[in-house]
Amino acid sequence: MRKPTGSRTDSPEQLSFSELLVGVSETQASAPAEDGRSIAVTSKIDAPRVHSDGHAASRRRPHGSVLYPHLFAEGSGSSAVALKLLSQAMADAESAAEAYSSGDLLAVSARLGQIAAATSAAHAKTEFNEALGMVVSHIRRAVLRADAASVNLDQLHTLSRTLRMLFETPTIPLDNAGELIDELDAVGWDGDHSEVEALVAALFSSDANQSEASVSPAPAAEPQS
Amino acid sequence: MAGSFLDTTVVVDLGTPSSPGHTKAISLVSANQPSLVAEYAYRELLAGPVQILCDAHNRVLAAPSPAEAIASVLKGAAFAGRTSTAKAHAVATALHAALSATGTFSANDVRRDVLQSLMHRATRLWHRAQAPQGVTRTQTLACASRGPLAVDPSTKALRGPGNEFNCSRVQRCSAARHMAQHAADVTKAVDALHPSKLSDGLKGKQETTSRRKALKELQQAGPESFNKRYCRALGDAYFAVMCPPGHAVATTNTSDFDPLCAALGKSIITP
Repeated sequence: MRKPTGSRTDSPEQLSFSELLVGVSETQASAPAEDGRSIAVTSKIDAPRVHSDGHAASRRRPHGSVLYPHLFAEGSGSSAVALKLLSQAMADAESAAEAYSSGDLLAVSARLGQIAAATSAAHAKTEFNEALGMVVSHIRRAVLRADAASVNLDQLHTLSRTLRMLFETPTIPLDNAGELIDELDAVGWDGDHSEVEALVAALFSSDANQSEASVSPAPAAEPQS
Repeated sequence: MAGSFLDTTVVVDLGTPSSPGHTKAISLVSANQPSLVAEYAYRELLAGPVQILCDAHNRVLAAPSPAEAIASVLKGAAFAGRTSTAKAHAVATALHAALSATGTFSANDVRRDVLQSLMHRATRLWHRAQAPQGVTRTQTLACASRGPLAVDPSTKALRGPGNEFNCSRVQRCSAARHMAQHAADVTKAVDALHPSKLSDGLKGKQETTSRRKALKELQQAGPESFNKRYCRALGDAYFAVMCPPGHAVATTNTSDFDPLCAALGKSIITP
């Protein structure tokens, strides 16, 4: 498992995408689970964020199912299936954190397996937003690689929060999706695609000088102004 | 201790946590403060490494089969002006392995997974490189593209900021304007790159020849008539000429900088 790469800043000016979203969900929505259970989407962590200088986050937005009813509605196709699977994965991440707190590592391992299965199935249904699919696939790989015995509570909480972010914002833009992956990486989830890493290394390689190859001018001409 | 003026190779390492040079680049920045990065480095980053990743993504996306994806990527931006057999073999092998991954995914989802991972690499390199800790941006370029990469909603192709990997087509070259403020140094750089003064390794190098040609274009045409197609060819000469007093050029590529910095009386530091 990857080592955490650093801590995030908490200054209001430097809030990340997920930090901005934490505390801005005001709708106490529930998501249907496959077995009929109802999963509360919001919790205490959805309370308005109070910054260090005392002001509460004023940016509030409705829940994703209100903003994007066409994606959530039953019968709306693959997006509804993907979101249902993500809500299941989110519930499993919460259960994993709960199991971790009570020292039940066997249950943690089982929940991680369920998250891997749900994200694997969800990935196939995320063609409506490839940036969403990018994070879902990253989570799937990270969870499959994880050793339940070395997972910690920070990782489980970050995983749970990330799944919630995706569920609440299925139209997430590419840059923000990348930010979510950075946050997973920072706490030690390793979801990198090893074959693609090898491909990228090869693309940037050169027989003579790797760095020069990566920045050398291309022969294509730019138009003159 | 001198301050540092980062070239694009160091900016790439700062933006790539998985690269072997990442930790060294961070150490260089913290040991050589103040640390500056010219916007020209981002212009090179976007038109170079970021575009290479996006181009590979878009070629795999457009190809109807894994074999055609490999053939297309081998004709892409990563191979512009280069004919390295070993590199082509390495890229073909890696892409074949990525597209042949087995598991629970269908062939279409395996392909999407590869595309998404390339997308991730491109967007994070571009994003992370822009905000390294302890580094101040300088020498603004009015013509440079800014903003995040985006997925084209209809084709799913990966696009540069404002649908552009290069500079604005309607503005003059800001890099040329910056360099024209240092005309004497530009003249020294042109002289330093004369073939008679270069080592055997640099004498026949295409980049060195193009660089001298670009500098002569700047001398002769002046910044307002400078042909923008030469902007990228300025390359290392930009960093050598524009490195401010009290700073050293920070690069992983010393061989190309040696003749330029020696002629201009500037220092080079490596991570």
